[in-house]
Order: sequence, then structure tokens, then C-alpha cells
Amino acid sequence: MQVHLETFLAMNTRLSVLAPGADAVSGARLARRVRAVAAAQERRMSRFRADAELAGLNACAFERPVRVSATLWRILTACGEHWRRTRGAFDVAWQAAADVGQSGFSRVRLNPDERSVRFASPEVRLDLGGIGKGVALKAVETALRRMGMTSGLVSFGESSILALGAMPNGADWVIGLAEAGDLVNTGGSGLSLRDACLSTSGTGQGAAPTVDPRTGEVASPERLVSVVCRCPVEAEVVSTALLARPAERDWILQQYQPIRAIEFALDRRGGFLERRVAWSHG
Amino acid sequence: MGDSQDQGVSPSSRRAFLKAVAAALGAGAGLTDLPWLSPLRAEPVGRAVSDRVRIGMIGIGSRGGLLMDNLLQTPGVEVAAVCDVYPAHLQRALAATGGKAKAYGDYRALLDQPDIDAVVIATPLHLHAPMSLAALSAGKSVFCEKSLALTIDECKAVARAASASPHVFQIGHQRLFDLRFLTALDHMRAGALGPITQIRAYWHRNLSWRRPAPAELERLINWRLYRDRSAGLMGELASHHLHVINWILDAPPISCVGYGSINYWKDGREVYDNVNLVYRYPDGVSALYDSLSSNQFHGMEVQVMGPKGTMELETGRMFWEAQQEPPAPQAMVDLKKQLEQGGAGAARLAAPTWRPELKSDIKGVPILADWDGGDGTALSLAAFANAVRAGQRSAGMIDHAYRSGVAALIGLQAMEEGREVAWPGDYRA
Repeated sequence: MQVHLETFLAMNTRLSVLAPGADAVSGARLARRVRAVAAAQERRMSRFRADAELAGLNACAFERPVRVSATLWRILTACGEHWRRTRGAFDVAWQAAADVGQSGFSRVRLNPDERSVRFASPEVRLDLGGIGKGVALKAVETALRRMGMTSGLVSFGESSILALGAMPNGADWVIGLAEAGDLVNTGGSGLSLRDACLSTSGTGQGAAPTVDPRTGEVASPERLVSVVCRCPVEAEVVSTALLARPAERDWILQQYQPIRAIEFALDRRGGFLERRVAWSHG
Repeated sequence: MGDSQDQGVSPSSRRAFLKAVAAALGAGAGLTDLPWLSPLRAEPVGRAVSDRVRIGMIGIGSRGGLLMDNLLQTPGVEVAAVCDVYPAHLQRALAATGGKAKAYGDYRALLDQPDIDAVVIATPLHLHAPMSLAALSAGKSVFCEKSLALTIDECKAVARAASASPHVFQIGHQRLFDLRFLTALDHMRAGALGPITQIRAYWHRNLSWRRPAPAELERLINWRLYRDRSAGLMGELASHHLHVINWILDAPPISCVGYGSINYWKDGREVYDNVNLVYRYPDGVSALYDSLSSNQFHGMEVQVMGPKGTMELETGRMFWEAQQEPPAPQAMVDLKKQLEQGGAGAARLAAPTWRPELKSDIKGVPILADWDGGDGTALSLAAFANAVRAGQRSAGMIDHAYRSGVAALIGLQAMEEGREVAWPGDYRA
């Protein structure tokens, strides 16, 4: 069977598309489409690119209400919704919580009549790092399905992995931890996926830290949370929230049913590091 | 020329030397404006007496001793005279020549020796100008260690005298002959970095320069610490990197601002123990330079930056600015192979978000893959000897000497006077 694999930079990480059954020409066409979708998402959600819509919003929204595109409006209202559902554990405005005890997104004013955003204090900045890949992956999924792809795997920086359909032999896609020496360590035989997304949050090498917006504490680098659910956005939101605020685990999981989640702890045994399952759900 | 044999140049040394010459010429092959390499293209020197260049060493301390060691390994060179005011240095140098050289305590007497073709000056900075001027006046070719001179007026005087002289004048900037620098410049000229937008250079050490000395010899031995003899870090270290910057940008700086102080070695020295400067070059390009005597963590480096990448010249590495396509995750590659073969299995893929390599993580690519460790000193002396033998003046060398020496001094002036100091003009004016 021909299989096309293509990897490129997107949103400050790498995006890989694995397309079983695709020859070089059709595979490249799929990859081109994914590149275009990801690039469009980056132009909207980056806080680093001067020409990105979010960067412009961050620069001006304390001074005056900023009208945003319909797409960014949908993303920001979704962020507000997830902020409420997770009791603030997921907070794209976490930098505003430098004052411990303050909730970041509570200082973001969304005006649906004008589709505008305003920050209530000058230190507020929006960072879509905890949801952006999920949003982009959802757009990628839509694009690939429109192009007729029914089986494939898309990895967005390895922290967000979308499984389209099943593998060509009809079995589920099975994904384990990249660092684990043995798949048993990832909870048996890895996490099986079919039309689902796996999101993994942790503070691994080079990864941005995950911060509890309420306390400002950085999540321990020895923790790793993987979440599987149908929606790429929800998978990323929940893994971020669970890592940021473990005490709210039961509440958060209850809000996003049906969902599977595993937390891996890092054990130090006899000088060796080993992942073990700290808890699992679903 | 002289009448004695090469001093201790073995056949294997000779072969290694010729190989290094060939490599240097190869590295500079893409560059058409490196006239100082042309003496190296001369036919290998024979053993005829007439082929031999007789050299007098003036100043045989640490650097002078190193230069002499190299000269003793250079085909067709005889160290015929040695001179130093410090008897211990003189005796050691004399012994290195097997007692064949004539020994002097006064450089003027050495200059009076008629069969000396050239002198190598490796003395404290304040002596560079008077000795170079006297040597040129005596009809000798001159190899003068950097930096050119202690004052701007002296730099102009030496540069003018060297230009007017029919003899060879060369400055001790060995990077002009360093394969890594030659190769890097070749790549830069070919556009590897795009237009150069900034150069940063630094040279950090954790040492005082002070050596034990009786009171009557304090200024003689610890000359680097006294302003009437030394330009401090600017003359001893910065001039090397300022030379490289001028060379790369093919221009002297327009002006300079800076701040220096003595913030650690408060031992009575008169020169800064830390310097921090910004040089302004044509086309809006700036060069940043700093040097510490109290911390060596960052060592030394010259970083040349353009929109396409960064070259670090001292470590000889290139870092591409434009992101190359990232590698596919290995688990995806493995899964692809399994699917192609009709199988399928688990993929160990999930992880915290992959990030492109950061500067601190990436190793870059070597600018010169098979660098032999030579820093250009041996080749620079060989080129000098060949130029003297051929009576061929090293075009461009005086400009290199003048620009680097003066760049160091306007930096010092900017710090001492607390103002922006403009380039004082060409020595020909």
C-alpha cells in the first residue's frame, strides 16, 4: 500500500500528515491543503506574529474595544465557555492572574452586540497556546474529510494527534507515549483511537510551562496528562486544565463526558526514570 | 639573504607546512581580494642560501616566543638575531636558535646589523610605533604584532611610513590566514547570510594580567596595566575582533560609543577591566563588542548575523535562520513503513508539544569540516617570509593594520571621554 507522510512547520511546532492509500501526487495535495489551513489559523491565533489578529487584539484591547473576526469571536467565546466549565482551570487569559486569586478571563469583556473584546486591566493578554492546536486540528479535520480522506493520522507537535477513521486494516489506531520504553507503561497497550483526538499536556523539554491560573504555580514537569475524546478542541482544553489544576479533576472530567484520560507520573527507581499510570478515567 | 641552513625544519614539518599552505589557498580561492595570500603561492623555497630570509626578533616574551617557534619551523627562514631587554627571555631565545643568532639588549643595535632582512616586533604596545618606524627607516621589512600603535597619530605615522617604504609591512592579525575565517568570508560574500545586519563580538576572561614583579620592574613586566604603555583590553583583545569586523564589512567604523570601568581588579591598574562598545558602520550596520576580565563563562566569539543566518567564527559554525523543514516524528516514519508492508502497530508518538530547536539547543553546522586546528599564525609568518624573499609588499595589509588599530583606539577614546567618537580619517589624508 502506498502511504504518504509529510511533515512541516506550523504554529511554532511541526505538523505531520500520514495518509494511507495516497500516492505522491494526491498526498502532496492533501498536505498542501493542511498547510494552508494551519497557516490561516496561525495568522489568526498567534500572539507572536505582528500581523496576527490575536496579537493586534492583545496590543489594543485595554485601550479600546476591539472588533474581531467572526472566527476569532467563536474561538474566544468558546474559551469563555471552557473557562466556566473547568471552574477557571482552563484560562487563556492566565497572565492576568499575576495577582494570585484573581481569575484571568474574568477581566476579558466580550460584547456580542459589537463582536468586540476589551480587557478590564492593562496586564491582560490572551494566549491561545492551550487550545490553538485543537482549533487548528478541527479545521484540518474538516478540510481533510471534505477532500475525501477517511483514514489517516495527523500529529500536531505530537501533543495533539487526530485519528481519522480506523487504520486501513480496520483496527483502531494505537498511540503510546513517545518517551515510554514499553507500551505497557502507557496503560496497557497504548491508547486506541478511531475518529478521535489524543491530546497530551506536560512540561517536557522545550514545551511551554502549564500554569495554574489561580495560583501562578507551574505544573510539575514530572506530570503528563493524556486525554482522548471526539473533539480536538475539547481534548486539548481538558488535558491543559487537568495538568494545571489536578484538584478539580473529578469536576472537569464530569463536564466533558464521554472522555478518557490518563495521568502519568515519573518514577525514579534505582536511578532510572519510568512512567507509570498515576490514575486513569474512562 | 643569509648563509646558513634552515633551523630545524624537518621534512615532515615541511610537508605539513606545504599542505597547510595549499589548504589556505583553497579556502581563499573564491575570494579575489585577498592579496596577502599571494606570497603563499610562491614556489616552495629551496635550500639555496639565496632563498633564506634572515629575521631579527624584537621582543621574545610569550607572544614573541610563540612567533619565533613558528619561524623556526618555517622553510627558508633563519632567526639570525634576537633582542629583548629581559635577560631571561633573551637567553631562552638564543638557546632556541642553537646559539647561532646574535643577541641584543637594544633593538637599535639589531637594526644596525646589515644582513637582517626583516624584523618581527612583539613588544609592549607603546613600542610598536617607534620600533616599526625605526625598522622601516633602517630598510628592514616589518612584521608587527597587533595592535598597531598606542595612539591614533602613531597609527597614521606608521601606516604612512609603511606605505612609502619599498619593504614589506605586515600586522599580526593571524585570522587573515585562518582557514575558518577565510572559508566563512567566502560563504558570506556568496550571500550565505544575506546582507549582514549586525556583528557581535566578545572576549571574556577571568584573569588579572598581573604578574609578580619587583617594584623597579613593575611597569616593564605589567605593562598591559598602565595606560602610557597599553590600551588595555582594546589593544590586547578587541583589536583582533575589530579587525575581523572591519574585514567582513570592508570598511572602518563611522563612529563609536562605549562605557568602560574598573569594577573588579582594583589593584592600581590604569586600564579598564571591562569594556562595552557599539560601533556604527555604513548602511546602518552596528557592531557590538564587550570584554570582561572577571568572568570567562561566554569565552570569545564573533557572531555575524544576517536575515539568512548566523555565523560564529571562532567556533566555526553556521546557524541557519530560515527554518528548514522539520524531521518527521520517528514513530510516524515507523508507522508509515508498517502500513506500506500491510501491517500496523502501535506508535509511540504522544508527547508534550515538539518545539523547533532554540539557539541554545542547536549545534549548527561546521563552516570548515576538516579544520586542522591551525589559527593562521604559522601561515601568516610564512606569507611574510615569502613576501620578504620576493620583495613583494602585501597589498591591503597596511589598511588592515590601520583600521583595526585605530578602531580599538577610538573605542578607548569614546569610553575615556564619555562621548561618541568619529573615525579620524584615512592615514593617507
